Amino acid sequence: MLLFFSSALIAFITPYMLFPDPFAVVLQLGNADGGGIFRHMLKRSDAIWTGAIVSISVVCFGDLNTPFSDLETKAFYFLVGSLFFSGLMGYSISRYARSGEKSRFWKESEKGRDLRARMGEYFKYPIDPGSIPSFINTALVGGLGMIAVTVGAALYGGNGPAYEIIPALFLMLLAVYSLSQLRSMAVRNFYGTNSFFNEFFGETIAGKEAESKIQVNQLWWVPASIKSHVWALLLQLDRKFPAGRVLFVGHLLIWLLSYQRPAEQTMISAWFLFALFHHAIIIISLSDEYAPAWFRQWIGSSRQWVMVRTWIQLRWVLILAVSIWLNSLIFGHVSYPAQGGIITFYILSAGFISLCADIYQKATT
Amino acid sequence: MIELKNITKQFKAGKPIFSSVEETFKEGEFIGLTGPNGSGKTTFLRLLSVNSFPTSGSVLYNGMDIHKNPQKYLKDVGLVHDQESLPVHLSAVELLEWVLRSRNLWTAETDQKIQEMFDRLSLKDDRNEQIGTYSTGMRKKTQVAAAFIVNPKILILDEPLRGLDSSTRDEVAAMLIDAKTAGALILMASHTADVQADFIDRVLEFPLT
Repeated sequence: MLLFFSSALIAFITPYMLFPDPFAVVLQLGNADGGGIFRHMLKRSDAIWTGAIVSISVVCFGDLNTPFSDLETKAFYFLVGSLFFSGLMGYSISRYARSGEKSRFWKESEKGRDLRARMGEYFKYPIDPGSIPSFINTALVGGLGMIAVTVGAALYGGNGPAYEIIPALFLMLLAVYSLSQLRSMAVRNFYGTNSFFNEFFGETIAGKEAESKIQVNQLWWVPASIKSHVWALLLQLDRKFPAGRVLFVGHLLIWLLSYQRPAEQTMISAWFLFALFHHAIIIISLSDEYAPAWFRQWIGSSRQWVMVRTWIQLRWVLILAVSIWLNSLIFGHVSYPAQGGIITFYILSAGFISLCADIYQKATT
Repeated sequence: MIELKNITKQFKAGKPIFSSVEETFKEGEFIGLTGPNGSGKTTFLRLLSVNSFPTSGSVLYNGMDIHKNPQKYLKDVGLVHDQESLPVHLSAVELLEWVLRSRNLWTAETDQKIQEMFDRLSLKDDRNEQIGTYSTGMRKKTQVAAAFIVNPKILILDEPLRGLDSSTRDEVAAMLIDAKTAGALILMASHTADVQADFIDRVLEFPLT
Protein backbone atom coordinates (compact mmCIF):
# COMPACT_ATOMS: atom_id res chain seq x y z
CA MET A 1 0.00 0.00 0.00
CA LEU A 2 2.94 2.33 0.70
CA LEU A 3 4.08 1.87 -2.91
CA PHE A 4 0.53 2.40 -4.15
CA PHE A 5 0.40 5.80 -2.44
CA SER A 6 3.97 6.58 -3.45
CA SER A 7 2.90 6.30 -7.08
CA ALA A 8 0.24 8.98 -6.61
CA LEU A 9 2.60 11.17 -4.61
CA ILE A 10 5.41 10.98 -7.19
CA ALA A 11 2.99 11.64 -10.04
CA PHE A 12 1.75 14.86 -8.41
CA ILE A 13 4.77 16.21 -6.64
CA THR A 14 7.42 16.02 -9.39
CA PRO A 15 6.61 19.21 -11.33
CA TYR A 16 6.28 21.25 -8.11
CA MET A 17 9.60 19.89 -6.93
CA LEU A 18 11.45 20.75 -10.15
CA PHE A 19 9.88 23.88 -11.64
CA PRO A 20 10.08 26.82 -11.68
CA ASP A 21 13.68 26.37 -10.66
CA PRO A 22 14.97 29.15 -8.37
CA PHE A 23 18.55 28.29 -9.36
CA ALA A 24 17.95 28.80 -13.09
CA VAL A 25 19.46 32.30 -13.02
CA VAL A 26 22.66 31.07 -11.42
CA LEU A 27 22.88 28.06 -13.76
CA GLN A 28 22.62 30.48 -16.64
CA LEU A 29 25.37 32.74 -15.29
CA GLY A 30 27.66 29.74 -15.17
CA ASN A 31 26.25 28.44 -18.50
CA ALA A 32 26.01 24.93 -17.05
CA ASP A 33 26.38 22.15 -19.61
CA GLY A 34 23.97 19.26 -20.25
CA GLY A 35 25.58 16.97 -17.68
CA GLY A 36 25.54 19.69 -15.03
CA ILE A 37 21.90 20.60 -15.63
CA PHE A 38 20.91 16.92 -15.69
CA ARG A 39 22.63 16.29 -12.35
CA HIS A 40 21.09 19.46 -10.93
CA MET A 41 17.57 18.27 -11.83
CA LEU A 42 18.18 14.87 -10.24
CA LYS A 43 19.65 16.48 -7.12
CA ARG A 44 16.50 18.53 -6.60
CA SER A 45 14.67 15.28 -5.90
CA ASP A 46 17.26 14.22 -3.29
CA ALA A 47 15.21 15.14 -0.22
CA ILE A 48 12.12 13.24 -1.38
CA TRP A 49 14.17 10.27 -2.58
CA THR A 50 16.11 10.05 0.69
CA GLY A 51 12.89 10.35 2.71
CA ALA A 52 11.30 7.56 0.67
CA ILE A 53 14.29 5.23 0.99
CA VAL A 54 14.40 5.84 4.76
CA SER A 55 10.63 5.10 4.97
CA ILE A 56 11.04 1.91 2.95
CA SER A 57 13.93 0.79 5.15
CA VAL A 58 11.90 1.52 8.30
CA VAL A 59 8.97 -0.52 6.93
CA CYS A 60 11.27 -3.39 5.89
CA PHE A 61 13.71 -3.48 8.81
CA GLY A 62 11.72 -1.80 11.58
CA ASP A 63 10.80 -5.07 13.27
CA LEU A 64 11.78 -4.29 16.86
CA ASN A 65 10.83 -7.71 18.27
CA THR A 66 13.00 -9.78 15.96
CA PRO A 67 15.30 -7.30 14.23
CA PHE A 68 17.80 -9.90 12.97
CA SER A 69 15.40 -12.60 11.80
CA ASP A 70 14.63 -13.22 8.16
CA LEU A 71 17.13 -10.58 7.02
CA GLU A 72 17.29 -11.96 3.49
CA THR A 73 13.55 -11.48 2.96
CA LYS A 74 13.68 -8.03 4.51
CA ALA A 75 16.60 -7.04 2.27
CA PHE A 76 14.76 -8.40 -0.77
CA TYR A 77 11.68 -6.27 -0.06
CA PHE A 78 13.89 -3.25 0.61
CA LEU A 79 15.45 -3.81 -2.82
CA VAL A 80 12.03 -4.14 -4.48
CA GLY A 81 10.74 -0.97 -2.79
CA SER A 82 13.87 1.04 -3.58
CA LEU A 83 13.94 -0.04 -7.23
CA PHE A 84 10.23 0.70 -7.56
CA PHE A 85 10.45 4.17 -6.02
CA SER A 86 13.69 5.18 -7.78
CA GLY A 87 12.45 3.89 -11.13
CA LEU A 88 9.11 5.64 -10.96
CA MET A 89 10.67 8.86 -9.71
CA GLY A 90 13.30 8.85 -12.48
CA TYR A 91 10.64 8.23 -15.12
CA SER A 92 8.48 11.00 -13.66
CA ILE A 93 11.36 13.52 -13.64
CA SER A 94 12.19 12.65 -17.22
CA ARG A 95 8.60 13.07 -18.45
CA TYR A 96 7.93 16.36 -16.66
CA ALA A 97 11.32 17.84 -17.58
CA ARG A 98 10.52 17.25 -21.25
CA SER A 99 6.97 18.60 -21.12
CA GLY A 100 7.68 22.32 -21.65
CA GLU A 101 7.40 22.49 -25.42
CA LYS A 102 4.07 20.65 -25.67
CA SER A 103 2.64 22.51 -22.68
CA ARG A 104 3.54 25.84 -24.24
CA PHE A 105 1.93 24.84 -27.52
CA TRP A 106 -1.38 24.04 -25.83
CA LYS A 107 -1.26 27.12 -23.65
CA GLU A 108 -0.40 29.70 -26.29
CA SER A 109 -1.78 28.37 -29.58
CA GLU A 110 -5.16 28.93 -31.22
CA LYS A 111 -5.74 25.18 -30.98
CA GLY A 112 -5.32 25.42 -27.20
CA ARG A 113 -7.74 28.35 -27.02
CA ASP A 114 -10.40 26.41 -28.99
CA LEU A 115 -9.94 23.45 -26.69
CA ARG A 116 -10.28 25.67 -23.62
CA ALA A 117 -13.52 27.12 -24.98
CA ARG A 118 -14.94 23.68 -25.82
CA MET A 119 -13.99 22.22 -22.45
CA GLY A 120 -15.33 25.28 -20.64
CA GLU A 121 -18.64 24.83 -22.46
CA TYR A 122 -18.77 21.09 -21.80
CA PHE A 123 -17.54 20.90 -18.20
CA LYS A 124 -18.61 24.42 -17.14
CA TYR A 125 -15.08 24.78 -15.77
CA PRO A 126 -12.23 26.69 -17.41
CA ILE A 127 -9.41 24.19 -17.79
CA ASP A 128 -6.10 25.66 -18.89
CA PRO A 129 -5.00 23.63 -21.95
CA GLY A 130 -1.36 24.30 -20.97
CA SER A 131 -1.84 21.93 -18.07
CA ILE A 132 -2.99 19.03 -20.29
CA PRO A 133 0.49 17.52 -20.78
CA SER A 134 1.00 17.67 -17.00
CA PHE A 135 -2.33 15.94 -16.41
CA ILE A 136 -1.34 13.24 -18.91
CA ASN A 137 2.00 12.81 -17.13
CA THR A 138 0.26 12.61 -13.76
CA ALA A 139 -2.14 9.95 -15.00
CA LEU A 140 0.61 8.04 -16.80
CA VAL A 141 3.13 8.03 -13.95
CA GLY A 142 0.51 7.36 -11.26
CA GLY A 143 -1.21 4.69 -13.38
CA LEU A 144 2.08 3.01 -14.26
CA GLY A 145 3.07 2.79 -10.61
CA MET A 146 -0.29 1.34 -9.60
CA ILE A 147 -0.23 -1.19 -12.43
CA ALA A 148 3.30 -2.19 -11.38
CA VAL A 149 2.11 -2.76 -7.80
CA THR A 150 -0.89 -4.81 -9.01
CA VAL A 151 1.23 -6.86 -11.43
CA GLY A 152 3.79 -7.44 -8.67
CA ALA A 153 1.06 -8.73 -6.36
CA ALA A 154 -0.29 -11.01 -9.10
CA LEU A 155 3.20 -12.39 -9.85
CA TYR A 156 3.72 -12.97 -6.15
CA GLY A 157 0.42 -14.86 -5.91
CA GLY A 158 1.01 -16.96 -9.01
CA ASN A 159 4.74 -17.65 -8.96
CA GLY A 160 6.16 -16.79 -5.56
CA PRO A 161 7.73 -13.77 -3.86
CA ALA A 162 10.91 -13.64 -5.99
CA TYR A 163 8.86 -12.64 -9.04
CA GLU A 164 7.61 -9.51 -7.34
CA ILE A 165 10.85 -7.78 -8.30
CA ILE A 166 10.09 -7.97 -12.04
CA PRO A 167 7.82 -4.86 -12.26
CA ALA A 168 10.27 -2.89 -10.07
CA LEU A 169 13.15 -3.87 -12.40
CA PHE A 170 11.02 -2.89 -15.39
CA LEU A 171 10.39 0.56 -13.86
CA MET A 172 14.10 1.00 -13.19
CA LEU A 173 15.03 0.09 -16.78
CA LEU A 174 12.34 2.42 -18.10
CA ALA A 175 13.75 5.22 -15.94
CA VAL A 176 17.32 4.60 -17.13
CA TYR A 177 16.20 4.68 -20.79
CA SER A 178 13.99 7.73 -20.29
CA LEU A 179 16.61 9.65 -18.31
CA SER A 180 19.25 8.91 -20.94
CA GLN A 181 16.95 10.58 -23.48
CA LEU A 182 16.54 13.57 -21.17
CA ARG A 183 20.29 13.81 -20.62
CA SER A 184 21.03 14.07 -24.33
CA MET A 185 18.79 17.18 -24.59
CA ALA A 186 18.99 18.37 -20.98
CA VAL A 187 19.86 22.03 -21.63
CA ARG A 188 17.11 22.67 -24.16
CA ASN A 189 14.53 20.77 -22.14
CA PHE A 190 15.49 22.51 -18.92
CA TYR A 191 15.21 26.05 -20.29
CA GLY A 192 12.07 25.19 -22.26
CA THR A 193 10.22 23.58 -19.37
CA ASN A 194 11.43 26.02 -16.74
CA SER A 195 10.28 29.00 -18.83
CA PHE A 196 6.89 27.35 -19.33
CA PHE A 197 6.31 26.77 -15.62
CA ASN A 198 7.51 30.30 -14.81
CA GLU A 199 5.01 31.75 -17.25
CA PHE A 200 2.28 29.23 -16.42
CA PHE A 201 2.16 30.14 -12.76
CA GLY A 202 2.42 33.86 -13.54
CA GLU A 203 -0.39 33.68 -16.04
CA THR A 204 -2.50 31.42 -13.85
CA ILE A 205 -2.46 34.09 -11.18
CA ALA A 206 -3.83 36.70 -13.54
CA GLY A 207 -6.38 34.29 -14.97
CA LYS A 208 -7.64 33.06 -11.64
CA GLU A 209 -7.95 36.55 -10.20
CA ALA A 210 -10.56 37.24 -12.82
CA GLU A 211 -12.26 33.87 -12.72
CA SER A 212 -12.71 32.43 -9.28
CA LYS A 213 -11.37 34.53 -6.47
CA ILE A 214 -12.48 33.54 -2.98
CA GLN A 215 -14.09 36.45 -1.12
CA VAL A 216 -13.40 37.01 2.58
CA ASN A 217 -17.10 36.75 3.44
CA GLN A 218 -17.28 33.30 1.86
CA LEU A 219 -15.16 31.99 4.73
CA TRP A 220 -18.08 31.78 7.19
CA TRP A 221 -16.46 28.80 8.90
CA VAL A 222 -13.38 30.75 9.98
CA PRO A 223 -13.25 32.77 13.24
CA ALA A 224 -13.26 36.52 12.60
CA SER A 225 -9.88 37.06 14.28
CA ILE A 226 -8.02 34.96 11.71
CA LYS A 227 -10.39 35.26 8.73
CA SER A 228 -8.23 37.71 6.74
CA HIS A 229 -5.07 35.63 7.29
CA VAL A 230 -6.77 32.39 6.23
CA TRP A 231 -8.17 34.20 3.20
CA ALA A 232 -4.74 35.55 2.16
CA LEU A 233 -3.07 32.15 2.46
CA LEU A 234 -5.91 30.32 0.69
CA LEU A 235 -5.78 32.74 -2.24
CA GLN A 236 -2.08 32.12 -2.67
CA LEU A 237 -2.18 28.36 -2.19
CA ASP A 238 -5.11 27.86 -4.57
CA ARG A 239 -3.40 29.82 -7.30
CA LYS A 240 -0.19 27.84 -7.12
CA PHE A 241 -1.29 24.38 -6.08
CA PRO A 242 -4.44 22.65 -7.37
CA ALA A 243 -5.13 20.99 -4.02
CA GLY A 244 -8.76 20.26 -4.87
CA ARG A 245 -7.79 18.23 -7.94
CA VAL A 246 -5.01 16.42 -6.09
CA LEU A 247 -7.35 15.42 -3.28
CA PHE A 248 -10.07 14.43 -5.74
CA VAL A 249 -7.66 11.94 -7.29
CA GLY A 250 -6.72 10.80 -3.78
CA HIS A 251 -10.36 10.02 -3.03
CA LEU A 252 -10.61 8.21 -6.35
CA LEU A 253 -7.62 6.03 -5.47
CA ILE A 254 -9.07 5.11 -2.09
CA TRP A 255 -12.35 4.16 -3.77
CA LEU A 256 -10.43 2.04 -6.29
CA LEU A 257 -8.67 0.35 -3.42
CA SER A 258 -11.91 -0.33 -1.56
CA TYR A 259 -13.44 -1.78 -4.75
CA GLN A 260 -10.86 -4.57 -4.45
CA ARG A 261 -12.46 -5.50 -1.09
CA PRO A 262 -9.36 -5.45 1.13
CA ALA A 263 -9.50 -6.25 4.86
CA GLU A 264 -11.14 -3.64 7.11
CA GLN A 265 -7.82 -2.86 8.79
CA THR A 266 -6.23 -2.11 5.40
CA MET A 267 -9.03 0.33 4.52
CA ILE A 268 -8.82 2.05 7.89
CA SER A 269 -5.03 2.43 7.46
CA ALA A 270 -5.57 3.80 3.96
CA TRP A 271 -8.00 6.44 5.24
CA PHE A 272 -5.60 7.40 8.05
CA LEU A 273 -2.74 7.75 5.57
CA PHE A 274 -4.91 9.78 3.22
CA ALA A 275 -6.03 12.02 6.08
CA LEU A 276 -2.37 12.66 6.86
CA PHE A 277 -1.56 13.25 3.17
CA HIS A 278 -3.93 16.27 3.19
CA HIS A 279 -1.54 18.09 5.52
CA ALA A 280 1.18 18.29 2.86
CA ILE A 281 -0.54 21.61 2.15
CA ILE A 282 0.64 22.87 5.56
CA ILE A 283 4.23 22.05 4.59
CA ILE A 284 3.80 23.83 1.27
CA SER A 285 2.51 26.92 3.11
CA LEU A 286 5.83 27.19 4.98
CA SER A 287 7.58 28.44 1.88
CA ASP A 288 8.70 32.08 1.75
CA GLU A 289 6.73 32.34 -1.45
CA TYR A 290 3.48 32.19 0.54
CA ALA A 291 4.60 33.55 3.87
CA PRO A 292 7.58 35.92 3.56
CA ALA A 293 9.13 37.30 6.73
CA TRP A 294 7.00 40.46 6.89
CA PHE A 295 3.81 38.40 6.47
CA ARG A 296 4.84 36.05 9.24
CA GLN A 297 5.62 38.98 11.53
CA TRP A 298 2.33 40.66 10.64
CA ILE A 299 0.29 37.66 11.74
CA GLY A 300 2.66 37.33 14.63
CA SER A 301 2.02 34.88 17.39
CA SER A 302 2.46 31.14 17.16
CA ARG A 303 -1.10 30.64 18.41
CA GLN A 304 -2.44 32.66 15.45
CA TRP A 305 -0.30 30.79 12.93
CA VAL A 306 -1.27 27.37 14.28
CA MET A 307 -4.93 28.37 14.13
CA VAL A 308 -4.61 29.75 10.60
CA ARG A 309 -2.96 26.61 9.24
CA THR A 310 -5.36 24.30 11.07
CA TRP A 311 -8.39 26.19 9.78
CA ILE A 312 -7.09 26.04 6.23
CA GLN A 313 -7.22 22.27 6.54
CA LEU A 314 -10.75 22.27 7.92
CA ARG A 315 -12.19 23.07 4.51
CA TRP A 316 -11.59 19.47 3.44
CA VAL A 317 -13.05 17.81 6.52
CA LEU A 318 -16.66 17.62 5.35
CA ILE A 319 -15.68 16.13 1.98
CA LEU A 320 -13.48 13.59 3.75
CA ALA A 321 -16.25 12.64 6.19
CA VAL A 322 -18.84 12.25 3.41
CA SER A 323 -16.43 10.22 1.28
CA ILE A 324 -15.63 7.81 4.14
CA TRP A 325 -19.32 7.50 5.08
CA LEU A 326 -20.49 6.85 1.49
CA ASN A 327 -17.64 4.46 0.82
CA SER A 328 -18.41 2.50 3.96
CA LEU A 329 -22.12 2.51 3.14
CA ILE A 330 -21.41 0.91 -0.24
CA PHE A 331 -18.49 -1.38 0.58
CA GLY A 332 -19.06 -1.78 4.33
CA HIS A 333 -15.39 -1.52 5.30
CA VAL A 334 -15.20 1.06 8.07
CA SER A 335 -17.37 1.12 11.19
CA TYR A 336 -18.91 4.37 12.48
CA PRO A 337 -16.54 4.57 15.48
CA ALA A 338 -13.58 4.12 13.12
CA GLN A 339 -14.99 6.86 10.84
CA GLY A 340 -15.18 9.17 13.85
CA GLY A 341 -11.63 8.21 14.77
CA ILE A 342 -10.33 9.08 11.30
CA ILE A 343 -12.03 12.49 11.31
CA THR A 344 -10.82 13.25 14.83
CA PHE A 345 -7.31 12.18 13.80
CA TYR A 346 -7.55 14.46 10.75
CA ILE A 347 -8.42 17.52 12.84
CA LEU A 348 -5.93 16.82 15.63
CA SER A 349 -3.12 16.00 13.20
CA ALA A 350 -3.81 19.29 11.34
CA GLY A 351 -3.28 21.13 14.64
CA PHE A 352 -0.23 19.07 15.56
CA ILE A 353 1.47 19.46 12.17
CA SER A 354 0.67 23.20 12.20
CA LEU A 355 2.33 23.45 15.59
CA CYS A 356 5.41 21.51 14.40
CA ALA A 357 5.51 23.69 11.25
CA ASP A 358 5.47 26.82 13.37
CA ILE A 359 8.22 25.56 15.67
CA TYR A 360 10.31 24.57 12.64
CA GLN A 361 9.79 27.94 10.97
CA LYS A 362 10.69 29.91 14.09
CA ALA A 363 13.78 27.76 14.64
CA THR A 364 15.06 28.21 11.10
CA THR A 365 14.51 31.96 10.66
CA MET B 1 24.41 38.83 -35.37
CA ILE B 2 20.92 38.31 -33.90
CA GLU B 3 17.89 38.02 -36.12
CA LEU B 4 14.30 37.84 -34.93
CA LYS B 5 12.21 36.02 -37.52
CA ASN B 6 8.49 36.62 -37.28
CA ILE B 7 8.50 36.42 -33.48
CA THR B 8 5.19 36.30 -31.64
CA LYS B 9 4.88 35.88 -27.90
CA GLN B 10 1.59 35.50 -26.10
CA PHE B 11 0.74 33.97 -22.74
CA LYS B 12 -2.79 33.31 -23.98
CA ALA B 13 -3.94 32.82 -27.56
CA GLY B 14 -5.28 36.04 -29.04
CA LYS B 15 -3.53 38.29 -26.53
CA PRO B 16 -0.01 38.82 -27.92
CA ILE B 17 2.61 40.74 -25.97
CA PHE B 18 4.15 41.38 -29.37
CA SER B 19 3.52 39.74 -32.72
CA SER B 20 5.35 39.08 -36.00
CA VAL B 21 8.44 41.01 -34.91
CA GLU B 22 11.25 41.16 -37.47
CA GLU B 23 14.47 42.69 -36.20
CA THR B 24 18.19 42.44 -36.78
CA PHE B 25 20.77 43.45 -34.17
CA LYS B 26 24.38 43.82 -35.25
CA GLU B 27 27.79 43.66 -33.58
CA GLY B 28 28.71 46.81 -31.73
CA GLU B 29 25.15 48.03 -31.68
CA PHE B 30 23.63 49.45 -28.48
CA ILE B 31 19.88 48.99 -28.33
CA GLY B 32 17.83 50.68 -25.62
CA LEU B 33 14.45 49.28 -24.65
CA THR B 34 11.96 51.66 -23.14
CA GLY B 35 8.27 51.77 -22.34
CA PRO B 36 5.86 51.70 -19.44
CA ASN B 37 5.68 48.90 -16.88
CA GLY B 38 4.11 45.74 -18.31
CA SER B 39 4.70 46.75 -21.93
CA GLY B 40 6.81 43.68 -22.73
CA LYS B 41 10.44 44.85 -22.28
CA THR B 42 11.30 42.12 -19.79
CA THR B 43 9.48 39.45 -21.82
CA PHE B 44 11.48 40.56 -24.88
CA LEU B 45 14.78 40.31 -22.99
CA ARG B 46 13.75 36.98 -21.41
CA LEU B 47 13.13 35.71 -24.93
CA LEU B 48 16.62 36.79 -25.98
CA SER B 49 18.16 35.23 -22.88
CA VAL B 50 16.35 31.88 -23.43
CA ASN B 51 14.33 32.33 -20.26
CA SER B 52 11.21 32.49 -22.38
CA PHE B 53 10.35 30.67 -25.58
CA PRO B 54 8.47 32.22 -28.51
CA THR B 55 4.91 31.20 -29.33
CA SER B 56 5.98 31.25 -32.96
CA GLY B 57 8.99 32.35 -34.99
CA SER B 58 12.65 31.99 -34.15
CA VAL B 59 15.61 33.92 -32.82
CA LEU B 60 18.83 33.24 -34.73
CA TYR B 61 22.34 33.96 -33.49
CA ASN B 62 24.72 33.82 -36.46
CA GLY B 63 22.17 31.54 -38.13
CA MET B 64 21.70 29.23 -35.10
CA ASP B 65 18.31 28.97 -33.38
CA ILE B 66 19.07 30.05 -29.80
CA HIS B 67 16.12 28.16 -28.30
CA LYS B 68 17.35 24.90 -29.81
CA ASN B 69 20.97 25.43 -28.73
CA PRO B 70 20.83 27.43 -25.48
CA GLN B 71 24.25 26.45 -24.18
CA LYS B 72 26.15 27.31 -27.38
CA TYR B 73 24.43 30.67 -27.47
CA LEU B 74 24.76 31.52 -23.77
CA LYS B 75 28.51 30.94 -24.00
CA ASP B 76 28.72 34.35 -25.67
CA VAL B 77 26.16 36.13 -23.51
CA GLY B 78 26.49 38.23 -20.36
CA LEU B 79 23.27 38.72 -18.44
CA VAL B 80 21.80 40.99 -15.84
CA HIS B 81 18.50 39.30 -15.01
CA ASP B 82 15.37 41.02 -13.84
CA GLN B 83 15.42 38.73 -10.78
CA GLU B 84 18.22 39.26 -8.27
CA SER B 85 18.47 35.53 -7.51
CA LEU B 86 22.05 35.13 -6.38
CA PRO B 87 23.42 32.44 -4.06
CA VAL B 88 23.32 34.11 -0.65
CA HIS B 89 26.08 32.03 0.93
CA LEU B 90 28.78 32.87 -1.63
CA SER B 91 30.73 36.12 -1.65
CA ALA B 92 30.71 38.23 -4.81
CA VAL B 93 34.32 37.19 -5.51
CA GLU B 94 33.50 33.50 -5.09
CA LEU B 95 30.45 33.84 -7.36
CA LEU B 96 32.56 35.32 -10.14
CA GLU B 97 35.20 32.62 -9.67
CA TRP B 98 32.45 29.99 -10.00
CA VAL B 99 31.03 31.69 -13.11
CA LEU B 100 34.45 31.70 -14.77
CA ARG B 101 35.38 28.17 -13.73
CA SER B 102 31.98 26.86 -14.81
CA ARG B 103 32.50 28.45 -18.22
CA ASN B 104 36.07 27.13 -18.45
CA LEU B 105 37.42 30.68 -18.53
CA TRP B 106 39.55 30.48 -15.38
CA THR B 107 43.23 31.35 -15.78
CA ALA B 108 46.02 32.44 -13.46
CA GLU B 109 45.25 36.10 -14.17
CA THR B 110 41.51 36.01 -13.66
CA ASP B 111 41.69 36.53 -9.92
CA GLN B 112 43.29 39.90 -10.60
CA LYS B 113 40.63 40.61 -13.22
CA ILE B 114 37.87 39.98 -10.66
CA GLN B 115 39.50 42.37 -8.18
CA GLU B 116 39.81 45.06 -10.86
CA MET B 117 36.18 44.59 -11.84
CA PHE B 118 35.01 45.16 -8.27
CA ASP B 119 37.43 48.08 -7.82
CA ARG B 120 35.83 49.67 -10.85
CA LEU B 121 32.33 49.07 -9.48
CA SER B 122 33.36 50.32 -6.01
CA LEU B 123 32.42 47.09 -4.26
CA LYS B 124 35.10 47.36 -1.64
CA ASP B 125 35.74 45.05 1.35
CA ASP B 126 32.21 43.66 1.08
CA ARG B 127 33.21 41.75 -2.03
CA ASN B 128 34.46 39.03 0.30
CA GLU B 129 31.32 38.98 2.48
CA GLN B 130 28.38 36.67 1.75
CA ILE B 131 25.91 38.03 -0.81
CA GLY B 132 23.08 37.45 1.69
CA THR B 133 24.36 40.47 3.65
CA TYR B 134 24.36 42.82 0.64
CA SER B 135 22.16 45.83 -0.03
CA THR B 136 20.13 46.06 -3.27
CA GLY B 137 22.81 48.21 -4.90
CA MET B 138 25.61 45.80 -3.94
CA ARG B 139 23.66 42.88 -5.39
CA LYS B 140 23.18 44.83 -8.59
CA LYS B 141 26.92 45.51 -8.75
CA THR B 142 27.54 41.78 -8.36
CA GLN B 143 25.12 41.03 -11.18
CA VAL B 144 26.76 43.61 -13.42
CA ALA B 145 30.21 42.21 -12.63
CA ALA B 146 29.04 38.65 -13.41
CA ALA B 147 27.74 39.84 -16.78
CA PHE B 148 30.93 41.68 -17.78
CA ILE B 149 33.54 39.29 -16.40
CA VAL B 150 32.99 36.72 -19.19
CA ASN B 151 33.86 39.24 -21.97
CA PRO B 152 30.55 38.61 -23.69
CA LYS B 153 29.79 39.23 -27.35
CA ILE B 154 26.22 40.01 -26.36
CA LEU B 155 25.09 41.84 -23.22
CA ILE B 156 21.44 41.52 -22.18
CA LEU B 157 20.70 43.85 -19.33
CA ASP B 158 17.36 44.32 -17.59
CA GLU B 159 17.46 47.52 -15.54
CA PRO B 160 21.20 47.23 -14.79
CA LEU B 161 21.42 50.71 -13.28
CA ARG B 162 18.50 50.38 -10.86
CA GLY B 163 19.62 50.85 -7.27
CA LEU B 164 23.12 52.07 -8.17
CA ASP B 165 24.56 55.33 -6.87
CA SER B 166 25.42 58.02 -9.42
CA SER B 167 29.18 57.39 -9.52
CA THR B 168 28.66 53.65 -10.09
CA ARG B 169 26.09 54.41 -12.79
CA ASP B 170 28.71 56.50 -14.57
CA GLU B 171 31.21 53.67 -14.22
CA VAL B 172 28.75 51.11 -15.62
CA ALA B 173 28.03 53.48 -18.51
CA ALA B 174 31.78 53.63 -19.17
CA MET B 175 31.96 49.82 -19.10
CA LEU B 176 29.09 49.66 -21.58
CA ILE B 177 30.88 52.03 -23.93
CA ASP B 178 34.06 49.92 -23.67
CA ALA B 179 32.08 46.77 -24.48
CA LYS B 180 30.38 48.45 -27.43
CA THR B 181 33.74 49.68 -28.73
CA ALA B 182 35.06 46.13 -28.47
CA GLY B 183 32.20 45.00 -30.74
CA ALA B 184 29.64 43.67 -28.24
CA LEU B 185 25.96 43.88 -29.02
CA ILE B 186 24.15 45.46 -26.05
CA LEU B 187 20.44 45.28 -25.33
CA MET B 188 19.41 47.24 -22.28
CA ALA B 189 15.99 47.86 -20.79
CA SER B 190 15.90 50.88 -18.58
CA HIS B 191 14.02 54.02 -17.68
CA THR B 192 13.63 56.60 -20.40
CA ALA B 193 16.31 58.85 -18.95
CA ASP B 194 18.92 56.07 -19.13
CA VAL B 195 18.23 55.09 -22.72
CA GLN B 196 18.51 58.65 -24.02
CA ALA B 197 22.27 58.60 -23.60
CA ASP B 198 24.46 59.55 -26.57
CA PHE B 199 26.03 56.13 -26.92
CA ILE B 200 22.72 54.38 -27.60
CA ASP B 201 22.29 53.70 -31.30
CA ARG B 202 18.63 52.78 -31.42
CA VAL B 203 15.67 52.81 -29.07
CA LEU B 204 12.94 50.18 -29.22
CA GLU B 205 9.71 51.63 -27.86
CA PHE B 206 7.44 49.20 -26.07
CA PRO B 207 4.77 48.04 -26.54
CA LEU B 208 6.05 46.97 -29.96
CA THR B 209 3.46 47.57 -32.65
